[in-house]
Amino acid sequence: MKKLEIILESVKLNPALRILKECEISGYTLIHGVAGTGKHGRQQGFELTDVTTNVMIIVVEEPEKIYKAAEKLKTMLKNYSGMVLISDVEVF
Amino acid sequence: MTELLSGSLNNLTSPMVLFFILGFVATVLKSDLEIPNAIGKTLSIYFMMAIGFKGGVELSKTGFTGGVMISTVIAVILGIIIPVLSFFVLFKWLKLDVTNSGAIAAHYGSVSVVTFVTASTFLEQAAVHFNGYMVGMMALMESPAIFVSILLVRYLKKSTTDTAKGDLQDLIKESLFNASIVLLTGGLIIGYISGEKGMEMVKPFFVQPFNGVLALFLLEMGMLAGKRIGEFKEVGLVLFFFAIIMPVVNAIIAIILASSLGLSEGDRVLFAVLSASASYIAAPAAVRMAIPEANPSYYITMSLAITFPFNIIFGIPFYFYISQLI
Repeated sequence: MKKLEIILESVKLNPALRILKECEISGYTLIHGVAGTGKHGRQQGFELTDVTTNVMIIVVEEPEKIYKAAEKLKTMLKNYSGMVLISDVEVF
Repeated sequence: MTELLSGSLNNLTSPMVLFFILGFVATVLKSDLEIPNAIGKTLSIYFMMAIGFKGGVELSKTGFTGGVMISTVIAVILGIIIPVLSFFVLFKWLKLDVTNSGAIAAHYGSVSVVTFVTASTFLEQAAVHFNGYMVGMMALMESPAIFVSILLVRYLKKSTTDTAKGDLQDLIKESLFNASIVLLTGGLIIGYISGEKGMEMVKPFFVQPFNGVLALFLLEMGMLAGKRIGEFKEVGLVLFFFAIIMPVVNAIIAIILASSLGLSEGDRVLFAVLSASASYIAAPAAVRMAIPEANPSYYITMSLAITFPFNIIFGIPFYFYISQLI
């Protein structure tokens, strides 16, 4: 099994969830209000608008579905800050 | 001139403006003062409900007069010409790239609810009447500028990535049915339906504490503006001056248009304030979706940390003064 972790700007949450659906991934964990610092500067977490807020999506699925989704997400996030991470996991 | 100075001084000594300055100074001095996020969001919901409702109650008293029609025409004209003018000033004169010009134009064409609320409080204190339906004009002026600017960018920058159908739906949803439009329009309708009787029921919540809550919200806004001060360097002097001069130009255009169509003094000032204000809630989200190549540091810093404080502290009394001259 593989774990896909996506950190992305809130404004791209819905398109990202649509990609997961297209790749037949129905289960995910969503964490709102993710803050941090990266290449695109500090994501402050809140400013009355969601523009500077990040969210994190965590998915555990078969490798085939994970890589298919990751490719599409990478294209979608071209002009946005964020990260797409894949790692091996064991579901206990 | 004396009137302008005394108006500015009255505005500068109002608790709302002073709390805004306090929030700004506290953040610059790195004080640990903090207002929880949920409270900030609740306060903004309170304002949109209260101002929408009050406008609706006023409208129920006056009814739909000819002024509503004229004001709607003015709101639509301003909602289109302000972003176009701002775009061409940025793109042609200031030589900014297409995407950033479009992104900034969307913000300056759209409106700021808190600036409107502060201006209406200023007018109430100056005993200048304005019509309740002006809240509806604010809701009406929120979206057109965003669409106009996005279309300008799409037209001039052919290489912009195509928007997927779902993304377009998100954009339309965000621009037309965002929280402020829903609450302002909804509040206006509820106020209109329930009228004076309804107002009596909610007065202790929506009217009496209004100015105190506004002071608390402006403290928060001051802190948000203060947090952005570090990004002034990135914005640069040219855009800094644009963020001050363009609102004044837009306000003067609005006053001339509103005067020529015979609107009352209060409505003229509110149109000036709506035209001068820049959005920092609806526009950033829509622009980030539609014009991702534009730099958010420019448009958020300009609207929140330069234009908003300028309008709150100096702009409102200045537009009031100008509207008396024209």
